[in-house]
Amino acid sequence: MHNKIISKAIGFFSVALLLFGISAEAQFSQARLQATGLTCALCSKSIHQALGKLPFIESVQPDLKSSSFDLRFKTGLPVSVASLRTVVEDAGFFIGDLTLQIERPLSEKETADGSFIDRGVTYQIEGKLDEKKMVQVIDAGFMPDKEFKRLASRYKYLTQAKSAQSMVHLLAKK
Amino acid sequence: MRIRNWVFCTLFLSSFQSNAQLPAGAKAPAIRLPNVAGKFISLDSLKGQWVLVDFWASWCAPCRLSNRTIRKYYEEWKTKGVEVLGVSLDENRANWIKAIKQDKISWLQVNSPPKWDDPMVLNWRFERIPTSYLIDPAGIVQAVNPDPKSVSKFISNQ
Repeated sequence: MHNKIISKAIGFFSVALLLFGISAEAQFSQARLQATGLTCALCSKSIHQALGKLPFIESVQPDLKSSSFDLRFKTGLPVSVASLRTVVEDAGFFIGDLTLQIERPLSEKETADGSFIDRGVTYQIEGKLDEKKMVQVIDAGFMPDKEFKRLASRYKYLTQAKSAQSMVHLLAKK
Repeated sequence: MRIRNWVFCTLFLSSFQSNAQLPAGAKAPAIRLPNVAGKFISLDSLKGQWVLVDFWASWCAPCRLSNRTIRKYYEEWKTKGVEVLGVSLDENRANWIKAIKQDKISWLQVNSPPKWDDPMVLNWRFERIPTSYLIDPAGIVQAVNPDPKSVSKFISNQ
């Protein structure tokens, strides 16, 4: 009797693990992160090391032309945009621009709604995605204040509160 | 109690010291890295002459500007017995080589592909690039980020 219960439990957990494994693909495949500050962000050891230590980051490649970091994400691990902002700010810089490429396939309903939920985080997309599925994070703290104010006057739902924990607002890029 | 406080303060301050940038007077840590041709160059092999060790990368705009300044003074420095060893943190080798051509670099150049995490680079304890160290003929750091204008004068005064 006990053996039956144990084997059923193992079976249940195996299926759950399999389902979780399948659904646990990364929301985003790569990003371009522009960090700003009083000094050259690309030249700082602390920001390189802090980004490289995030568990979901595969590689960090600085790009001189765009003054940005090209980030590649690991497949299978959730990307936290809030963590990206935290490590940049802890290193003494600010995010000037964070543009991500959506990896996750979107269902017809999600495409029509312009939003998807991934592991407890709701991603709300403004505008229509093209085939590259590039989006800019438009929450407070992800761009210079002046730029945020301009966007906040257009998209009234944006607030000064630096959240991006359970709700991330994205703008489709062309 | 006083002794305990003193020990605590000393340990506290020394913990900062261990992470601080390599100061003037310190022995220059070893460098042995490949040049463009793949030949390994060591800092040790340059002992007996003054060396400006310059850490940089192709994607670092201030470093590229600094390359131009070094170029301006390099010929003069050579006549005074100063060599320049550029250590690039470029992960992308092609970008490093392209930058050497663009900046018309004629001084010694080596590359550290593991970027900031190379143990050889970590020993130099710098927090940003460009960072340069003027090393004397005995292998001792004599100046950190010296003003290129004053390098010749500095050496003459030693």
